Amino acid sequence: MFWQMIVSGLAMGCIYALIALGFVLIYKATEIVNFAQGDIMMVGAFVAYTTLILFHVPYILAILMTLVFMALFGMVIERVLLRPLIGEPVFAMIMVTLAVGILLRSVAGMIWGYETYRFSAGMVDQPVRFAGVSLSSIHLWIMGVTVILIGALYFFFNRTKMGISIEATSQNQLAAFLMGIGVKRVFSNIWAIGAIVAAIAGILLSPIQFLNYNMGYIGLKAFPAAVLGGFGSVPGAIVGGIIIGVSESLAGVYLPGGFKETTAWIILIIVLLIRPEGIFGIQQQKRV
Amino acid sequence: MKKVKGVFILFTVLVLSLFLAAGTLQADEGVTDTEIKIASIVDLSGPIAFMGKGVTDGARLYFEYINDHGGIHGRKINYWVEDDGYQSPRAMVAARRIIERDKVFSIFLVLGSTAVNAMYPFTSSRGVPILCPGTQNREMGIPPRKYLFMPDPTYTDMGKLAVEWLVDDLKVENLRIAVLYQDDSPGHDWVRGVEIGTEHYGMEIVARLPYKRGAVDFSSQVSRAKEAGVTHILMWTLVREPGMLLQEAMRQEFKATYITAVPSMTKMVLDLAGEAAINYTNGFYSTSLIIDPPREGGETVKLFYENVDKYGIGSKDNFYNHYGYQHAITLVEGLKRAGRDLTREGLIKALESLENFDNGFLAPITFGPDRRIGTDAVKMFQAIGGEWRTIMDEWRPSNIEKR
Repeated sequence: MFWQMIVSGLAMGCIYALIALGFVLIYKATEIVNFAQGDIMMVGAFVAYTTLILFHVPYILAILMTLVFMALFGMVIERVLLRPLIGEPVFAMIMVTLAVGILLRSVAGMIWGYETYRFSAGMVDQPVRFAGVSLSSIHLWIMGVTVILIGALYFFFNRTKMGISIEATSQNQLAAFLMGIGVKRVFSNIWAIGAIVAAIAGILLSPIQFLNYNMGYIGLKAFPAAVLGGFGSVPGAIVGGIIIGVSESLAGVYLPGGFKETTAWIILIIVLLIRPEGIFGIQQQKRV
Repeated sequence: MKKVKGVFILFTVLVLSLFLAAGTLQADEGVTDTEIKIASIVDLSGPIAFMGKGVTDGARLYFEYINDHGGIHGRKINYWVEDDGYQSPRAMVAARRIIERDKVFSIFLVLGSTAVNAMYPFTSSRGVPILCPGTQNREMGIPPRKYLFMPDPTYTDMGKLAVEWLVDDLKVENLRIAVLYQDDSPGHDWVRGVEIGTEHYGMEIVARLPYKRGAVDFSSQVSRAKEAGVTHILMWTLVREPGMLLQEAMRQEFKATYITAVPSMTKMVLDLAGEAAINYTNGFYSTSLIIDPPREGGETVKLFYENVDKYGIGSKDNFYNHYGYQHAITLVEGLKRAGRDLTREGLIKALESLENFDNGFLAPITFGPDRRIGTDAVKMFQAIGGEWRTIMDEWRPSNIEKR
């Protein structure tokens, strides 16, 4: 049973990791904690559902359309709601992201209704036996896509010009601006990437958790994952997500009832007490 | 002079008493010569919005029909719905608003016992009844509260009957029962019923598997059930959970028989779980509080189908529409019995007079001065071919002694 729980936890952890990745990417570049990340994920899943199931678009095309739409969607949120607030306290922007989340939930309910939908997103769900552990082909999909996505992001941030300029902006906005990097464009690109990652998480999550306008609440669980990994660290988000997923899963079996749902928060508090910068975090010190 | 004063006093007293008499003769707030104000407080935007919309659509359908046929003693029902987002503070605010500003006659259908408990002290202080609370929580009727009527059997009754049915009817041997439940008051109500049942037959519950509202991962519950060698999972869940649970069981290759309480007995649950996961079980059953309309429906169900076509509200196979509709029938029966001089106290007396009242959907309802739960009878249903079907001809009250 121990290994069974580890594997189940890994799959769930990958979902947390993907959402946490969205938090981290946007935070890294803009210093905004985007609390709408979970709800953007929900929108992504619904857009995929709409193109695939309601409009019967072929699979690959439907996923591509979803990702493009979500990239634009992320850019629009940044351009319309957050850019006017540049220069205002970061706190104001965080409040805006909270509002965006509530707004997205309400609008999604109006468009897609308040019901729950079954959506396999083209993934086959069948048991796979492996060394005495049974897991689902969906779990394999989730882990596989997460690994590929991490690789892609690593390549993007280290090998492409856009990626490097985002990295530069996150290190020092003013210096990057003076070096001729279009900081505004960097912001809108990072929101696009954040929304794409969210959409992928949403698509992977819906076969397990079903499609519902409330599914974005899982984003709250990804928040401790991001903090645990060190807010602002990409590998941290992944490791954080997996640790949260696995410990939740183990807590469900080995600890009394009720601990499973609170594990993520207990870990969050412990991390904040012992090592507030997280596992991979670097204490940032700014000179005044 | 003295005489004049005496006449004057007499006149004043007469006029005053006329006013007072008019006051007592006049019907309560919320009732005029032409209408009766009835309102529901349900979730229209939160996690159980589909239930809120379903039950109120069902009720609205019957009220439309009644209004089209002359109303009740010449009065039409003015029915509207307030949204509480499944949050009891908002339900409380809505209750205040509809009583103080809108002068509602009676509150009808409130989804969730926490909302009912939150508003009851206020509503009862104004003498406003809450009818058919739209939950099957035991504390809605035990101990009885004057202004609260629940026609449905309780979750405790259902849990008890589930065990009794397995032992007495199916004669299953070597039962290893696990109870899986949402960790809140309705869930605990169900557990209580299962406990009474298992204790009665000298068995033990081999695993207790709670989950918190909104949980999305049932891997640990399935693992624990598998480890404990569970054969039957008796569960109180809502709509998403059975689907996730059954799929997770299939992934972990765990086969069991499932019996759920009535909130999960909808087609959506079967659609979400999917044919494959349901076929992977040793049977997926539910304790139902209403009949199986397409197979057992009489005249009332026929009229319901006609009304759905005529008014274009709701759909014929929606459980929540059936549920709201039948509660509206019970309410209208009460209002009819209360007569033309309609008061809230009169309505309460009228409802207390219901004895084995058959509304065509629910088991026969009996209320009384000390009885606020209409029935304890349940029917067993099974998921067959993507829909819920009854597997019991008669209503079945539990034989296990009441507690």
